[in-house]
Amino acid sequence: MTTRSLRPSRPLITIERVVAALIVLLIGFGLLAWFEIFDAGLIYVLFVLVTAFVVRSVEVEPGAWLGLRAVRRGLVLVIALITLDFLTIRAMDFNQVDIALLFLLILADVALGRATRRIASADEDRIDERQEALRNRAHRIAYAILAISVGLVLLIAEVATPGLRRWLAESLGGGGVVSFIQLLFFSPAMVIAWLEPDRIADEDGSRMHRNFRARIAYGMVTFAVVLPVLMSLLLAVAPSRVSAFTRPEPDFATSNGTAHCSYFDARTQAGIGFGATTRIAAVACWDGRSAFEEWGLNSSDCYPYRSEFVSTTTIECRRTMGSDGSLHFTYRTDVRSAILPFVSREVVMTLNLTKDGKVVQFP
Amino acid sequence: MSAPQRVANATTTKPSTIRVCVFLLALCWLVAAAQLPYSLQGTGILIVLALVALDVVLGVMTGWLAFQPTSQLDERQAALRDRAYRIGFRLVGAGVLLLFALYVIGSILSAIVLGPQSQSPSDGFNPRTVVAILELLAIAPTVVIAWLLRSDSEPANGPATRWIPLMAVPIVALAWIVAVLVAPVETTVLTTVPDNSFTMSAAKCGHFGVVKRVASGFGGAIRLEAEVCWNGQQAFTYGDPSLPRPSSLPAEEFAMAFPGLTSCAPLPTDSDFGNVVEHCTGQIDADGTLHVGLRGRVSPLPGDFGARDVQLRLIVTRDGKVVAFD
Repeated sequence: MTTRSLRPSRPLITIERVVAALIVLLIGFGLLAWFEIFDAGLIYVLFVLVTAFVVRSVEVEPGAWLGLRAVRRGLVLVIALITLDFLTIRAMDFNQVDIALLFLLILADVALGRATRRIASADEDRIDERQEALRNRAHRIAYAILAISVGLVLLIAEVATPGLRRWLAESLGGGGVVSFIQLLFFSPAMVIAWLEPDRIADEDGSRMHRNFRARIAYGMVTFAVVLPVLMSLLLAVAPSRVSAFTRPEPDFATSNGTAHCSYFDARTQAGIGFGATTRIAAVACWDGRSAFEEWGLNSSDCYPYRSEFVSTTTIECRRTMGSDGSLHFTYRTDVRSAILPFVSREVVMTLNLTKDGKVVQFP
Repeated sequence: MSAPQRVANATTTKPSTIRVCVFLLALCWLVAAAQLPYSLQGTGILIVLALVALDVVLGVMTGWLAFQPTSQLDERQAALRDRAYRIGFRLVGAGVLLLFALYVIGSILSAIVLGPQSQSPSDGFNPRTVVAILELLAIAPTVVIAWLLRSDSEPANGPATRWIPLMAVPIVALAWIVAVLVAPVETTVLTTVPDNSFTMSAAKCGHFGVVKRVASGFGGAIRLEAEVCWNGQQAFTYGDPSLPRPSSLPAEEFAMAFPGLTSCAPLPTDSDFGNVVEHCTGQIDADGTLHVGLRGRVSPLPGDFGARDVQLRLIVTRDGKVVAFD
C-alpha cells in the first residue's frame, strides 16, 4: 500500500482560488450596481482593496511587542469585544462611534496579521511543518466557534420568536455583517494569536524588512487612513455645487381653466468625495389663480439623493401657499461628517413659483 | 482497522462511491441555496431529508473522523482531521460567498421575471437559506475528508449497527410533521404609520404588513402587505386594483398594480415547504371604513392532510384609526 502525502502538489482549482473568484464576482456585481453613481466611496473601497492586496504581499514579523503572548491575547480580546458590539448595531443606529470602532477593528486586524505573520492564510510552501500543524489546529478551534455561534444564533433566531428573527434580520443589515465577516475571515488568526507562546528574542530574526514594497504598502495604509479625514474636512471648506433645469409638462384642464405645468429638477452637492447630494424633482402647475404641486413636493420627497460617509438630517421640509396664490417649497438639511462629527454644512433648496408661472427662486 | 485509519491510509485515485455522495450532497445543497427555482412547491422537506441522509452516509463512510476527539486519533489521523477543518473553513467562506452571489443573481432574475416583490424587513432568512447555511456549517469538514478518501479505503463489510444514525432521516421527518401539525401559527406584524416613504396629496398613509408562518416557515406562510391611505372621507388601499377603489378620488389613479406597496399573495419562497393558497377581499363601507379580509390555506402534506386555514383582517377608519389588525 502506498501512502498518499498530506501535502499534495497544488491543484488548479483550490478553495482559495474559488473564494477569490467569488469575491471578484461579487465586486463585479457591486461595480455594475455602482456604475451609474460612480463615486468617491467606490474609488475609496477599491483603493482599500488594492492596499490590502499590496500589504498582504509584504512579509511581516511581529516585533518585540506583538511577540508577547499577553499583548497578542489583549489584541484578541479587543477584537472580540468590538465584534460582539457590532452584533448589537442596526443599520439605522450606525453613528460616529461605530465608524471609529470599525477603523479600530481594521487596524487591529492589520496588527493581528503582523502578530501571527499571516500564517493562517499563507501558502503552504511559505510555512514549516510546525506552523502548518498550528494553523490547522487553529482552524479546527475557529471552526467550532464559527459553527456553534453562527449556527445556534441562526437556528434559535429563526425558530424561537418573531422578535428574534427581526433582530437577526436587522443586525445582518447593520453591524452584524461586520461581526460575521470578522468571524469568517479572521477567527483562525485570532486563535493562532491566542495559542502561540511568547516568541524568544532573535528567534524570528529582525523586524520587518524595510524594502521598497513595504514602504509602498505602509504608505498606502497611511493614505487610506488619512484620506477620509481630509475628505471630511472638505465638506466644510469646499463650495456647494448646484445644477438645475426645468422642462415644460403637458397642460391639463381644471375648474379654473387650463393649468400649465413644469418639471423642476435641481441638485446641490455639498463636499467633495465624502458628502451629500440633495435634490428637488417635482412637477408644479399654475392656472392664473394659484400655483400648486402636482407631485414631488411632499414630506416623503425630502431625503438625500445620495450621501457618502455623512449623516443627513432634514431641518425643514415645508410647502406653503401664499395669500397671492404663489407656491413656496423649502427643503433644508444638515449634512454632517460621519467621521468628524464637528464638521457640518447646511444645504437649503427652494422653489418659489407665482400663480402666473414665474419662477422667483429655484433652487 | 477503524474508519479513521482507513481514511488516513487512503491510496488510489479511482473515482469512488463516496465522491458520488459528495456530488449529490453538493447538488442538493445548491437546490437549497439557489434562488432558482423560485419556489420548491412544497418539496423543501425532501431536500432536507436527502441532505440528512447524505450527511449520515458521508459520516459513516469517513468514520465520523471530523467529530472524533483527539484522544481517540493517532497523530496522522489528527493531522488529517485538522487539515480537513482548515479546508472546510475555506469551504464555508466559499459557500457563504456563493450563497450571496446566488441571492444577488436570483433577486435580479426574480425582479425581471416575477416583478417587484413585497419583502417585509422582518422576514429574516427564508427557510431554504437557513437549511443551506446550517448544512454548510455541519458537514463541510466531513465533505473534505470524504473527498480526500479514496475508493479502496471505503469500508466494505462493517457492522450493520454503524448505519443506525440513518434513523435521523425518519426522526427529522417525524419532527417536521409534528411541527407542521401541532405548532402554533406564528404571526409577525409590522406597521408603519405614517409611512414617510409614500404620500398622496390630501391623504395620509400607513403601511401594514403581516406574515403568518406555520412551523416557523418550515411548513409554509401566508402574507399581506397593504399601503392604506385615508383622506377623512374614506380609507382605501393603494397598489392593488383588485381591492375596492375610493369613490372620493379619480379611479384612474388606482388602475395600476404596485405589488411593492400592496400585495395579497405569498412570496415564492413561502411555499417551499408547503403549498400555499390565499385570497383577499375588500370593502369600503358607507362610513368610509376599509375592511380587508384574507383567507389562506397552508398545506405542508400531500392531499391537504393537516392543512392549516389561516385568516386575518384589517379594518381602518376614514380617519386612520386601526380598528382591527389580527
